[in-house]
Parts: sequence; structure tokens; C-alpha cells
Amino acid sequence: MMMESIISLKNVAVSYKQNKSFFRSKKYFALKDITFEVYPGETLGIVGRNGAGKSTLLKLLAGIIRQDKGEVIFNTNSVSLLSLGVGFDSNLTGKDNSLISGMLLGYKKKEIERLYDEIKDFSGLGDFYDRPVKTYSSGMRSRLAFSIAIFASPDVLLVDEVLGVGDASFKEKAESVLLEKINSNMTVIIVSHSENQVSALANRVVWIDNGSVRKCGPAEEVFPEYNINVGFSSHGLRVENYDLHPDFYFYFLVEKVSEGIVYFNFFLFNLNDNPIYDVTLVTEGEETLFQLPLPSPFTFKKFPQIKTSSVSKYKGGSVGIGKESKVFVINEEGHKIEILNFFLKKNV
Amino acid sequence: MRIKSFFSVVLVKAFLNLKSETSNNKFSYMWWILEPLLHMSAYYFVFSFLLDRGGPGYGSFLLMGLVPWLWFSKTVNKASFSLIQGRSLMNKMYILKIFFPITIVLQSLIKQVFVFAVLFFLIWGLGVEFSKESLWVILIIIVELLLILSVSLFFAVVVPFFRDFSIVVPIAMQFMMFCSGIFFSYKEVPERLHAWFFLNPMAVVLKGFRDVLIDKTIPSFDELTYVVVFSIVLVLFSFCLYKKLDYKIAKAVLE
Repeated sequence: MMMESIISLKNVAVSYKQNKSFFRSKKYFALKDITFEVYPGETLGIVGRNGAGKSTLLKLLAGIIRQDKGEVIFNTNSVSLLSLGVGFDSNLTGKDNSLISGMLLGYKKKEIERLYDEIKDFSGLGDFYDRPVKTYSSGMRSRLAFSIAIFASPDVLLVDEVLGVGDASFKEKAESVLLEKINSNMTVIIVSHSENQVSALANRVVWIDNGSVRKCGPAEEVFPEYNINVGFSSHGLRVENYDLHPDFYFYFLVEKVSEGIVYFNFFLFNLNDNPIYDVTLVTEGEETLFQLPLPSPFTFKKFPQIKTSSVSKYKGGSVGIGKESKVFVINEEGHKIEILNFFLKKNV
Repeated sequence: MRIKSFFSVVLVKAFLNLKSETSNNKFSYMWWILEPLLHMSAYYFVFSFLLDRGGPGYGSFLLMGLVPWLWFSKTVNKASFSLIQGRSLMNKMYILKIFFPITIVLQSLIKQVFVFAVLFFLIWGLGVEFSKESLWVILIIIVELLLILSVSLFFAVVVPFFRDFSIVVPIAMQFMMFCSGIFFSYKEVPERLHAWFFLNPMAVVLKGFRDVLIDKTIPSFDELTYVVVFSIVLVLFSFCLYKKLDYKIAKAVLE
């Protein structure tokens, strides 16, 4: 099925200038080569670690900046960024701030004045709505910001890590309004580094790494590889030719990289909750044996239904950059099976 | 954004900015008047008392220079940094960049209407009598507004690209302050240097105020035409810069 895309990016690059000295300045590419399409009505997740270029990409999609290379085609002129704290003036009341923020979002003065009560109710600010924003807690500020922004109905809504809003009950309210928007005809783009948020909401995920698109597809296809890589990308490394057994969860925690050797710990468990016996890492014919896993609340929080995930941390792995490595486990029946095959490469 | 809705946002923002600005100080709106009066007292002390200059009517003479000068210098200073100060907003949504300096100019105009009203009352209290020539002051105010708009728009768009201007602007303002004849009359400048002296548009504006209010003459239209042409050329040039650099500004303010 071919659909007309609502936003389309082709080989887009964006650079910033860094002043070095009086005459010299260096170009720094925040986005190097971005190509993907956004289809009407879908919910697209954009993931990447800090510094991968997510916020530059958001600004590009919101029409705030323009690309230096490549092509961006908008088939709509109504894109807006739902982002918290759109420069509130802290001396002014919540009401005055809603007026100016709303007008900047494109409302008429009268329309906002009609929305005052709704914004006040939704934000749950009560009497604080008529007090200066400088008297607010940070949670109250984000509640106000969210409540103003959520009344806008653009064709494409860009959401920037928005769900970390206020207390638990407001969070629930915020999530349900966002879900309403997602279930309507609106196109929603969610930018986040959290797998949980994105995989729950998005139909499709674009993974940005080092200013380029690493992978694009359904959440269940992108996240396993994203998780394998996420520990390495901050060290300028990437996992090439990796092959993970679909029954297993594997997550690298990189400790350090020195002289071409990567030292790491990892989480490993069976997704069907079958116990794992000895784990071996084979690299360049050398074998390392891992025996007793350590407790791992990190993975148990993510997979509470899998008991073995609570004790799944292994320490002391090391592999060379550019060397092929394999991980084997001995399963219940005493069979040795290969569960991961990977190859680390330097990012260019 | 349509022109009409653009200006309604500018208007609302300007009023809210004034509200915000005054909410921090105890004397709030009183400062609009107190500030020029304090400046006047300081100059009066130095020039009239210590240097024994000026003579009768020097107080109202000073006020007539200081009030328009402060309007000009404070607005231009503030507008110069308006784009950099608006960086978080312009990086959250698309917004015409000219919005920021225009808001500052409008905001100070609203304030200035009250300040001028009080100024006229004050100089009347100090013994200045108004005549039918005094009405020309409205023209002088409009010419000054145009000048303020042009210089503000220009500096605002230049500063994000050449941050060094943020140091140059205050120095330029200081230099202009001494060259505009705030505490001395243009009559004290040798005749042969008048061509140089009136190259400075603010010197022309201040002379205009004193011509119509103190000397009770019709303003010099030749000189005012020079200021108007200067301002229009600068406004048009700045418009081109805003148009050309619109998307670059959002990046430049972060660099």
C-alpha cells in the first residue's frame, strides 16, 4: 500500500557553526543524513541517545530551522511542537501566560479567553492560576504548559518527552489526552529515549544515531537492535552484523573502552522464563565462562512477568573492536546454543 | 501569520511585558517618571550647580533632552538583545523574528506616551509656556519613533551574528549621548561644525523638541527629512535582513 506522506525527509543534513578563533569556525553536523517519511494519521516514535540529533530533528520538523542539505517536503502547514515551558514570564499569572502562549500558538485572543476555565480545570492549578508563575512549583509549571498546549489541534503534533509531567494523577490525565489525540486522525511524532513510552504508543519507530537514521520500522523490530547498541553508541562504537536468538534478551552495559578493547557487563535471560546455565563468550578462539548471575532490578522492572530477569546481570566481559564474538548458553537440557553473534565497529 | 494577528500578538505581548516589568519593583509604574527625574537631578547637580552653567530654565532644557534620549537609548539597547533573549521561544515554535524587536519598540512607546504627558506637565510647572508651535512636537515624536524603530530593528538582527556588537552597542550609545546635545545646546557648537553635529539623527530630534517647545519656532523640515530618509532606508534594509535570515536566526542565537 502506497500512501502520500505528510512529511518527507530526503538525505537531510543540518550543521551548526562553532567559533574557534577570530577567523576560523568549524562546522558541526548535528544531522548528517536523515531520510524517512511520516504518513498521515500514524504515530511515529523517534528514538536515540542524548546528543544523537533528536532535538535538532524536532526543530526541523517543527519548521523552526531549515536543512543545509537535502530536502524536506511538508504536505501540511499545521505542525506544532508540544513542548513544556514555552518561555513563561514568571512575573505574570498563569492566566496571562496562557493568553500569550495561546496567541503564539495561533489562537485569537477571544478564543483563549473562552478557554481560561478549561485550562484552569485541566491543569488543576485552582487559585494558583491567578497568581504569578514564579510562585509555582516546577510540576505546576509543566502542568500549566501541558494544559495550554493540549488544546491546540494541529495536523501534526510533535511531542517532546512530554509524559514526565507533574504527579502520578496528572500524568495519567496527560497520557489519556495524548492517547485520545493518537487515536484520532492526528499525526503524532513522539521523541524520546525511553523504550517504554515509545513502544507503547508508536506504530513505527525511527532510530537516530550519530545524526543518521540507523533503523526504521515497527517497534518490535527496532528496539532489540537499539538496546544492543545503546551502550556502545556513546563510545563511538556500533554493533555490526549482530544476530540475536529471538528467545533471549541481551543488553550491554559498557564499562570502558581502552586500547581497542571494550570492557562490559551484560544482562541476559530467556524470554520464556527458562533457566540459563553457564554462559560463554567466545572471541578470537578465546573462551570466557560466566557462571553466577547477579541480581538485576533494572531488567526486572522492565520485565516483571519474567522471574529469571531479576537475576540476570553478568560481569567482566571484554571483546576487541573489529573482532567477531559469540555468546553461548547451556540450556536446561544441557545443550550449548549460540544466542548472539556480533561484531563491534568504530562509528565513522 | 497574518499581519493583523501578528500585530495583535505584539500588542498583547507588549502590554504583558510592561505589566511584568513593573511587578518586580515597589514603585512599579512610578519609575517611568522617577527615572528621567533622577537623571535630570544628577545632570542638574553637575552642570548647573558644580559647573555653574545653564542659567534659568536649565531644568526644563535638560528634561527636554533627557526624556527623548532615554526613550531612544533604552529601547535600542533592549531591542539589540531581544532576539538573543527570545532564543528559547523561537526554538520552540516558528515565529517571525521581527516579532521580538517590534514588541520592544511598541512596549516602550506605550510607556513613553505617559512619560511625555508628565514631561509636558512638568516643564509647564517649570515655567515653559506653550504656544501653537508646541503642537509640532507631535511630528517630532513621530520622527523619533521612526528613528528608534529603524535603529532597533537593525541592531537586533545584527547582534546574533556578530556577538561583539553586544559590547559595541552600549559604547555607541554612550558616544551618541555626548554628541546629541542633551546637556548643552547646539548653539554652543561652532557654526562650521554644525554639518558634522547634525549628522547624528538624535541631535536633530533633540533640537526639534527645543525648537518647538522653548524657542517656539517651526522645526527645520530639511533636518527632519534627513532623519526620516535615514530611518526609512535603515528600516527597509533591516526588513531585507529579517527576510533573508529568518531561519538562520534561530540557529545563530544558539551558536
